[in-house]
Amino acid sequence: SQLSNQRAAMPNIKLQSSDNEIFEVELEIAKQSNTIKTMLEDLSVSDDSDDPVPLPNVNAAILKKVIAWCTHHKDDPPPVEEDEYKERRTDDIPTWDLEFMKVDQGTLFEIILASNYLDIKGLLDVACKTVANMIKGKSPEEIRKTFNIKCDFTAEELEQVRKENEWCEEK
Amino acid sequence: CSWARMINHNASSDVNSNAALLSQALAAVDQLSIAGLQQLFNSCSARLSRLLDPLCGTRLPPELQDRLLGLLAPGDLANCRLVCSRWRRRIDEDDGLWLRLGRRLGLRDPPGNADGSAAEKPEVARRRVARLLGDSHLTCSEVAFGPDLGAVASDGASETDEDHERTLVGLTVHSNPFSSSDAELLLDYFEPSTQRVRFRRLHVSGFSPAGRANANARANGYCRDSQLAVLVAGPAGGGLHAVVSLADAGTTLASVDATPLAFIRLTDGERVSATAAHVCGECGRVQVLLLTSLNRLLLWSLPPQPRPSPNASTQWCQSQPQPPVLQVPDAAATLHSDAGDLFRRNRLISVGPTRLANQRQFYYAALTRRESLVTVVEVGCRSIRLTDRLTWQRPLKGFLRWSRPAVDAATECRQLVTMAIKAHVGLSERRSSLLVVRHRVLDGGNHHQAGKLVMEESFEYERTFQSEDILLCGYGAKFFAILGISASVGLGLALHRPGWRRPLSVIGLSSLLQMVLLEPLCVPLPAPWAAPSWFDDGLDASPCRRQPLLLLATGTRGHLLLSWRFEAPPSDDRDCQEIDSEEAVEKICVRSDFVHCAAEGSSSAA
Repeated sequence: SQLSNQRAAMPNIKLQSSDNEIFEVELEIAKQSNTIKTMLEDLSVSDDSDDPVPLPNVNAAILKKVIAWCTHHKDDPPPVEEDEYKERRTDDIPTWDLEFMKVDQGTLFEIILASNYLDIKGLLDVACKTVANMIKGKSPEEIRKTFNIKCDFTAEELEQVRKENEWCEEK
Repeated sequence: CSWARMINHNASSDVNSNAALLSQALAAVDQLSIAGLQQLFNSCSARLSRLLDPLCGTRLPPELQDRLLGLLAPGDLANCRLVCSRWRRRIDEDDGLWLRLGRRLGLRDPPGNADGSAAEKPEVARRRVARLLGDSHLTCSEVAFGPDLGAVASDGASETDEDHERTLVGLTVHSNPFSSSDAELLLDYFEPSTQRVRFRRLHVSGFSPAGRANANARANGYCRDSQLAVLVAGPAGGGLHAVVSLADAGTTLASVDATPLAFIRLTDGERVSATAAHVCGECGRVQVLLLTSLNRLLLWSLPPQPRPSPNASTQWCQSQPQPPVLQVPDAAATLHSDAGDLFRRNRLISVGPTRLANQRQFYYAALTRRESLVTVVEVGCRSIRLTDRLTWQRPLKGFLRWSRPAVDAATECRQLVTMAIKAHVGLSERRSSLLVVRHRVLDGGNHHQAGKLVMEESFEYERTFQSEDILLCGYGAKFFAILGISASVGLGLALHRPGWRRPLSVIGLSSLLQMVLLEPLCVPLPAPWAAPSWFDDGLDASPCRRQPLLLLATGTRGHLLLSWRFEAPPSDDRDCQEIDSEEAVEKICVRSDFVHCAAEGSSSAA
């Protein structure tokens, strides 16, 4: 009950989506976004301020998803900086996140853009890995089908690219 | 249709700004015919696919597309190149993508100007990654995991340990002081076929970003047949990594570039506990097995590494049939000079002709045992000059740091250590190398004693330098024997440096003769004969033996012209092919006939 009291006492903040919908979230959850965190610090917004923080690049549907993700991951440790020269795995997405990312491609891209704008590294990682997994291990035809891309290669060009790709094919 | 065009032209990604536009469009949809609806749908669908294209679409900014590409493995990138021309261009032209992939695989960045223009850099990087992956065809699989592994590992380990004891003598890792990302692996091993201890230096790039591999390396290795598998684990990027490298052990190369074929990510506390390698009798592939302390077993399968071609670009590697273990001659080793060893065994012809652009110069420096005097000798295409004498008090960057431990080691284990700075002065770049040659007496005693087995270790560190840095030096009992004042010998005048007012010095006559005789062989002379190589097997086949060779030492007050020809009878060809010892050098000296020796000015013919 003490914990619930503490939770209840936690300050909230209002976020305003691009389509003017207001979301009230706990300050600690909102601060997973470095963008919001910086805005609050720069603007010296007090905890009891009633003014919503405008987020003109995120609409209500996507902001709702982002808040849901941040709420679920509020107790996660801060993400570590990864070495860009190290190979990065994409098969380590937690089960909850896998379910969370089961959305249409348009929404997935909007989540990537929103997490990039809001600077939420964990969400951006998961969303990018989800898109990468839509490519990994698939044949060119399957990739075209996934992303509705038309092949504009001539037969000769296709053969040429295949020859260039021989280095990575199974011998 | 007009609404469809308007949507395509005016719509933006912001839903709000399009609200009015969309409501108008939806209101107009009712008025469209079936054909119009179909056209509208096709148009919007094409626009949607362009928006949602993850690599070339307009929705994701380039930095996020780069992030996506960075998550793909080389094989996936190859598949992506086949999707459409836009994807292929996007992947091929991504500079950072291929550079990052190359670095992950241990490749260095391709130089912007040497291999092509800056625009060609991604293509160069892509080809290098492709070549590496294509050549190695690395397959890595985790073959077992769990409690049952112990039995499997112990079976394999017993044989491994036994062979390991028999074959591997030692493996040490040195970090390169001039590069924060390179490591030198020095490996001693016993070759059963020749019953000799071999020494090998492996250069592994991109291994030790912190340069701390030496301190914390967990090394193990194994060699059998004609393949050498080396595995080293050490800190890299903050975590433990292991490198598996393969090198051809069938040749007597003293140095090879060992491209890391795999980086294994080891968890904290995990150590390499056993490695094994063998060549599959059926398929000829090399299989490398790694067992870690956490009972993780990994297996690599690699094709046999091709032997270096005699005409390969690594010309300086293939042309030295040097046995790593030398036997001191039974007779008094009068010509067994360390200068000769240094000169011969450190590939002083190692620089390709394009880099030096006919302005090749080598600087050598000798330091007396007292470490109070440094003598710098410049060896050019056609000249040998003593360029400077320096006192120890001058700032000798690098040498002080490296000479002291080496000298200490020499005292402790009766090694002879010779060090020198080799400077290449070219049009495009200036580089210097710190050469360290160490002669270790395997059976005790002094390496100049008759019949002793001496194992040579040599390694070389490269760095760029400024001209004023060419100060460095060597250390050794007989390194470039400095005899004294030149007037007593006479050759010193020919070695005189313009404007040099210091007392003249000369290098030892025997060492000079060796250089005089051997230096022309080092220089890739132009046609009609092919570029000679250093103690190459092909020396006998080279027409240069039938040509008179010239060497000119010049100075302001005179020059020295030497001309000679080989007159060895054809029956002695075999001896010429097996030049790898001081006795052979002596034979060359005896057989060469000085047919012309002239001097001008005040210098006297010696």
